[in-house]
Amino acid sequence: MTFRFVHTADWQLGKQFANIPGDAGAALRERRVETVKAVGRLAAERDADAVLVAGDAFDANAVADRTLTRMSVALKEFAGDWVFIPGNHDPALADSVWSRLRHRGLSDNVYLALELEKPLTLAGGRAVVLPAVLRRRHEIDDLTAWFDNAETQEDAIRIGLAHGSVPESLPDSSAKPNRVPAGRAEAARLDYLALGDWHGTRRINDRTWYSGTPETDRFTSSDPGHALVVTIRKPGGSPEVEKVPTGHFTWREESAEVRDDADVEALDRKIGELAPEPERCLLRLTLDGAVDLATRKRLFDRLGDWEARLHHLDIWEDGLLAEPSEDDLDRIDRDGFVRVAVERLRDRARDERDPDRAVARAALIRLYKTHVGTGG
Amino acid sequence: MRIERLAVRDFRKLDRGVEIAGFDPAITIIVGDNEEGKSTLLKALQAVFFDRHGLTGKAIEDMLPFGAKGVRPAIDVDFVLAGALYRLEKAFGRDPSVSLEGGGGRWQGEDAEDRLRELLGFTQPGRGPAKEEHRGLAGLLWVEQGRAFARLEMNSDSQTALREAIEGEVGQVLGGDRGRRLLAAVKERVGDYYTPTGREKKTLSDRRKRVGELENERQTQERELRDYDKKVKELGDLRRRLIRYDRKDSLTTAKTAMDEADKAVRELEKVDARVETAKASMGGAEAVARAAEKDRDRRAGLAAKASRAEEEAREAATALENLEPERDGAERALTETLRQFDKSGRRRDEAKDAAVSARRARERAKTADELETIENKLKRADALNEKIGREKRASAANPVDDDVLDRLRDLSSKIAGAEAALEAAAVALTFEPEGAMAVSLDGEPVDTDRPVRVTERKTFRLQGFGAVEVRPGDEDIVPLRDRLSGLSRRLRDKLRELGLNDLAAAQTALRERQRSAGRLERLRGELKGIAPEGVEALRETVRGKRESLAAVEGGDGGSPDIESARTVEAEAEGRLEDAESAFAAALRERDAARSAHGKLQDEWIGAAERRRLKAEAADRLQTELAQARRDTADDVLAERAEADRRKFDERKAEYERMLKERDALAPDEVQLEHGRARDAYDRLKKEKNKAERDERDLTIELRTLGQRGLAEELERARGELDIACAELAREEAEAKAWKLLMDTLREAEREAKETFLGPVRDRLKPYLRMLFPDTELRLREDTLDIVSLVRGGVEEPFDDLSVGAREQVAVLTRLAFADLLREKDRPVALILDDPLVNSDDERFDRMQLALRKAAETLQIVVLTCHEARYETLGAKTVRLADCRTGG
Repeated sequence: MTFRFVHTADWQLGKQFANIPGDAGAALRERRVETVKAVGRLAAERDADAVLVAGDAFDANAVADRTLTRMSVALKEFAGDWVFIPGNHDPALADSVWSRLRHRGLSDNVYLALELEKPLTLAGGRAVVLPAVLRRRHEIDDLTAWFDNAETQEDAIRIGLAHGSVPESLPDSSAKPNRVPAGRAEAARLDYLALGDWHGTRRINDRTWYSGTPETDRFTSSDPGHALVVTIRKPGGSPEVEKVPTGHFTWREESAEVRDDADVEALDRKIGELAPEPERCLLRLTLDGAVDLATRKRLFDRLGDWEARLHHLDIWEDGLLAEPSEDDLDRIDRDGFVRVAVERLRDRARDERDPDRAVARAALIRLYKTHVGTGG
Repeated sequence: MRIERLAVRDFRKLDRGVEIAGFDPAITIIVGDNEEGKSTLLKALQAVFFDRHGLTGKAIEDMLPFGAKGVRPAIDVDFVLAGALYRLEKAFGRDPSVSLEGGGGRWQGEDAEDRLRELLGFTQPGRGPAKEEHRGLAGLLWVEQGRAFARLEMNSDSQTALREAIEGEVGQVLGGDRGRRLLAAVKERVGDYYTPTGREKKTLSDRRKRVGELENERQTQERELRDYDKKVKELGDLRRRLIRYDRKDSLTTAKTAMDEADKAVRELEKVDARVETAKASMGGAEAVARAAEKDRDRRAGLAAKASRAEEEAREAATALENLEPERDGAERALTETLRQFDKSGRRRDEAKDAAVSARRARERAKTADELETIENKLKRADALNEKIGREKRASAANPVDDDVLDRLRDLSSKIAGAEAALEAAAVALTFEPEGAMAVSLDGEPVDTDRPVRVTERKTFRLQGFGAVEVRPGDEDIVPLRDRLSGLSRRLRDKLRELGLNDLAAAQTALRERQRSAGRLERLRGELKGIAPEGVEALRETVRGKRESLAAVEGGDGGSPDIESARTVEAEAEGRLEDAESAFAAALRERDAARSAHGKLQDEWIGAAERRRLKAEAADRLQTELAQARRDTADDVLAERAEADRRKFDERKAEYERMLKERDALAPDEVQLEHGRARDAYDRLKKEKNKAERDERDLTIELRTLGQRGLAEELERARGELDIACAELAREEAEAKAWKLLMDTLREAEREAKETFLGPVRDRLKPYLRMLFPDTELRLREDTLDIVSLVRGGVEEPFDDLSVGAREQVAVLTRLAFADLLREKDRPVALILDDPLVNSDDERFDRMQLALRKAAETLQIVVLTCHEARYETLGAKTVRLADCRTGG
């Protein structure tokens, strides 16, 4: 009687990561399909009956056919049933990825739940999936309302499948459309309500979960990069939910205050800890503090190394003030016109009323580098 | 440094030895003529201080006096340095030597050379003679002949010394090599972003362009995606509409309504056909009734017309009868006027003949009168002609005219000339007889009161003495004598030929000839007045007149006098005039009578014709009317017209009844409803078809559009744009930073240069003011050479200045440098070999002041061949010629 399935969502296939330049961005694009395969393999390994995809399998309806094809290929990793519902990124509009997929023809084990209020029976009747079908991007009505009155076989496990936000349980979601009440699973006597839209894995209640995206796609503090393996032994039984990591890349956000060489060393160590496998890590580093030019140079020399080792390093240095010390200045020149120029630039960099204050600071940093470069 | 004494032997031009002692601590002028060796003194000083004593080869050969062998150039110099007196002795060539003594020390050989270098601060060459760059400050301050106007181009020892002197005052303001390197590196980085003129380079402009392109691309893709979304929405709408059509079955409803409307229209059409039939029948009856009425009316018309024609025929006959008596009266009047007309014609002809005869008589009388006058004229003309002939003959007999007289006068005056010449050539004899003694010639007494002129051999007899023969010089006088006699002979012959005695007679003859010509002129004028055409023409006129008179006289012989003939003619003319006017009146009357008769005749013919036509017309109409009445009687026609009108009224009533029946069906509404139902159905059908077609088309189109991956493309474009924007912002910030860095460095460098050159400017100012007030001299801060002179804000490059200005500026700059160096205890002395040769007197005077000012602290030696120019300087003058020592 047991019904086991993999709950996943928000694959966002076709997402471009175009603001991450070069090979790093391309690798992230490629990775999403690879992760779908990983999900398929997970289902196969765990001998699951089905994979339920709770919306946003695609990043948009207007994705290229190539993306559809690549997904179709990835689905071959698992021969059980694949059930898809549309999400707000890929709603079942008059023309959509779904109409196109259907037109191209799909394997028998792939179900697209596109009709309203139509239950889907799986595993020879052991389970019935009640899908909430988004036919526009934003739906005011509660598409899961019909679950309450949906008739199913007494001995079938009732599983809801929806894409939207649970306002009571998610931060900043009160104004969001496509709302799903937190009590839907109970009201509709569901054994499990599989949700998509929130990219981190999140338990709403015993029977209601967000699986999150299987591959992280942004710097976030939520908990992405997993799929859920759900086992339900019998109708009404408690679902057993296992959170399985599926992500390849880790996306880290870190901030650091730097004032001297010790801070540089500490930051270096910290990055090392954050990214035990640097080539799989994307790091956004926010720098604060004030450093002299010599320290700044050492800091950026070190970060330059990290940039080469990490998959991607994004440095936000607006908060880092480069303040030349007397030593810095002396190192450039003790007298002569260069010294005069240095002092003038330093004065301008300090003058809060000077509109070119930042330019003066940048000029000083470059002067320092050039001085080092010209062997001064 | 101060030079005290200089002794030179066997050195170049100074082969005889020179010693100059007592150099002035201020200014010393050393005067020497050209080639005397004053420039050699400078060479000697350069050699003794800066050339190594051990020089060999060509350098030594150059030092030897011309043609000298086996001598040893030697130079000694005494000088004071930092308060100590030194003596330097150097000999070159064979057995070279050097010694330096002073300041409590004495050095020989290389030690001496080393010590010298130490004292003066210069760099000797590895080998060979010392050049400009090896002479330390002397390279700058000892100026050779012809070099004063050149750029300074000082050697590096001088530059270093000056730089140290300046930095001693202002510190290290220039950045040195390091600063220059840094600035160069920064400039290079700025050069990555900007052209030398400040325009953006590709690094920036390409990025900016790329951002623009990507922005366009993004907008295009956003638009395309919007279009796609719009179409997706359209497709959704279409599908919903199609579902609505199906659900409401609206097309069938519209079809039923249309069929009912069709049926109503067909019903209406049937009634319409009946209305048309009634209308046509009514039309036929109306036409028949109209024709019958027309027949009846035409008959009445014909009857009226016939009776009117008969009346008119009667009226025409009466008019003709009334016209006849009038016409006969006119005929009689015409006959009478014709008779009167013939009579007056005859009278006029008679008067005409009488007038002609009178005119002829008057003409004859006039011709006879004229003939008499002309015949008188002819007589006078013949008499004049006779006189003219006589005068002409008399004139022809006189041979003397103006030419002849001129020739005679000419001869006569030539004779007078010949006589005078002979007289002049003659021997003049003056006799002064004693007492009453007489002198005779050829037996004739000679008047002794006046001299006697003798032109040919003469023999005088002197009383109481005898004969004296005088023979004038033959050779002179004979030709004169011959000429005179020739001329006299020619005159005599001419006169004889003319039949004259002498010249006076010739003059008289000429006057007579002139008087005769005057008379002839007058006679001819008179004749011309009487017979302008000539006598023969006059004679011909007389002959003509006579003939014409004879011809007229042939008529009745005898000619009356002219006055009575004229009277007769006037009377005949008067009678003719009366007869003419009587005739004209008769003619007018005849024409009036003719016209009146013609008019009446025409009227009568017209009336007769009218009567005939009217009678014919009346007959014809009567015949026609009678015929018509025989065919159909008038009352029959009237009855028929009445019957046809009644029939028409019946048909009309029937038609109006049919119209009412149709209106009851409301035909407009039936048609409107029919149109509405048909349009509604058509439109609905068309819309449904179109919606179905659109749905199919859109489905296909969207499937194709969807394949393109517009969302991915847009996201990619957005990402690329973000990256490009960030790159651009980064590069712009970079460019701005480098630019600010360069600008700040340059500004600091410029200020540093200003500061650096301050001490030089301060020293230079008082000198410049003497020659170039209100100017500023610009120097390079690295080589310290002269760049330009700035006058009134205008910068003039040194090379563009006049030669004079250049030498002045260069000397003044050296003075300033020397001041600065001396203040820092550098060994300086200024030696100028013939400087300022290009300066005008005024500038030269000012330069003297400058030199005097400098000389307050500086020793100056001037070598010159222009002694006079320096006389006003008030300096010590040494003549080279006075300093010879050997020989």
